[in-house]
Amino acid sequence: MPAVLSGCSDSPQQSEAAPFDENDESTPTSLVTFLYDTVIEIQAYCPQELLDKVEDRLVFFENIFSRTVSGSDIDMINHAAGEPVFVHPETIDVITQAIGYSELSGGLFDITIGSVVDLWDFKNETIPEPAALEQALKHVNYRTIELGDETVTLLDPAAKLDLGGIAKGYITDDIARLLREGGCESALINLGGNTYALGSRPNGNPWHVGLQDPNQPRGTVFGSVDVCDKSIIASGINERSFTKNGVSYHHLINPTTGMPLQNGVASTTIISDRSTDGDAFSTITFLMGLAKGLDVAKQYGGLDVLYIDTDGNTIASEEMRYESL
Amino acid sequence: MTLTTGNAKTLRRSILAIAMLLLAALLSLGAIRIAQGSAADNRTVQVLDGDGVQHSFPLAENGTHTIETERGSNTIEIKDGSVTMLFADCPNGDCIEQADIHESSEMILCLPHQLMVSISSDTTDADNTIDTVAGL
Repeated sequence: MPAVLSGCSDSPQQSEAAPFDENDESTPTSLVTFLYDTVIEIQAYCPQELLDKVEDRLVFFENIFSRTVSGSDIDMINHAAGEPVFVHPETIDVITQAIGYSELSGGLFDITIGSVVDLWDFKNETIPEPAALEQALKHVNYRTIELGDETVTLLDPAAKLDLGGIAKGYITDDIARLLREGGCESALINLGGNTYALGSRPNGNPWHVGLQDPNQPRGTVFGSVDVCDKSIIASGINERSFTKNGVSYHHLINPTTGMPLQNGVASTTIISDRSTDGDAFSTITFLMGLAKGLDVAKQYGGLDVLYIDTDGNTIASEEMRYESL
Repeated sequence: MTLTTGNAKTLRRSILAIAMLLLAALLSLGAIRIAQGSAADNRTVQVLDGDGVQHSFPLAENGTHTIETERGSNTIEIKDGSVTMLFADCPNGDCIEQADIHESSEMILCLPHQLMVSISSDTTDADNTIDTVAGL
């Protein structure tokens, strides 16, 4: 299926700040760092000072959203024993949006899944005991989150928040905003595979973003999309996964069983304007399966969806345009 | 057969012409070789290790390279323009079970060791070169 975009002349939200030196198209400034338990890569046609601000902002989010950073907002909420916790506005905002995705997905997307996630160790290939899972599942319910203007309360003291299904998308949107406000009109943001193509290539052509084949080793690209000012995010069985005794286990957990969902879907890719939407809906559409996932995405609007099943077949929503390699 | 003076001059001119043609051909061949040499693959393999140190190796030179940090050991192999993670002492083999890379948009990622292998971009990259990859 051919890509249809040939230019990015209608790129939105152009900043009034001075653009980067257009004569220096071949040398973007770049940032590579390890945060959020993954690698962050940003290449931007903008001054280095702006990328320094971006790095500070990335560290800021690590320090408020990470469950494993002592004293982060999420760490404080998870250990508050049911008491309200004063948090940053960004934490209120991301949790508010997460609850919205929980409601529209009927609870398939649920950031209170932390107690279940705790039992899985994909690095050391640990499978939880069924009894432990059963116990943890009792504390998965987004309705136990109570939001105040500045506070978050987990009404179930044993519940645990995990922003793994939304944080990188939310942060990506924030970083894209920061870059635009700083005058950057051309950049690629990649937070552990969550990508955002800001503007266009310096020559005005769309960014050319590859799509990981979920049935093949990391780095195997099966297709690509040409995009401008779009987020491209995939959730797949290849990420954070292991095989033990012939059984594959991946990180896309069914919140009703606590086990990786095996529904024949290998990955879903979402192209959207907002990376927060892309992050959440890549999980939601995976967990819902093909028919219902496509339907929910269509109802929400503005999402292009691509499914790949475990046999390598691809099924795309009507608006999805990608090119097979 | 007897050669007259005129015939001999013609023969010398012919030999001279052939010699000049051969010389021109040799010079052209040399120019082509030089041009090919200047268009050789000058890209480098970039390895960012867990200590934040950047290592650089020519992509055109086959060989193996081991990078040791406190987080662990990784050995990459460069062969015929491709890079492979040959060995890594990470817990579950994630760092090894990855595709070879041969383009600037691709990378090998060893998260436990916070090590990343990539190929420097080539300014002559075609417009259809992939800029980044969605999904890990």
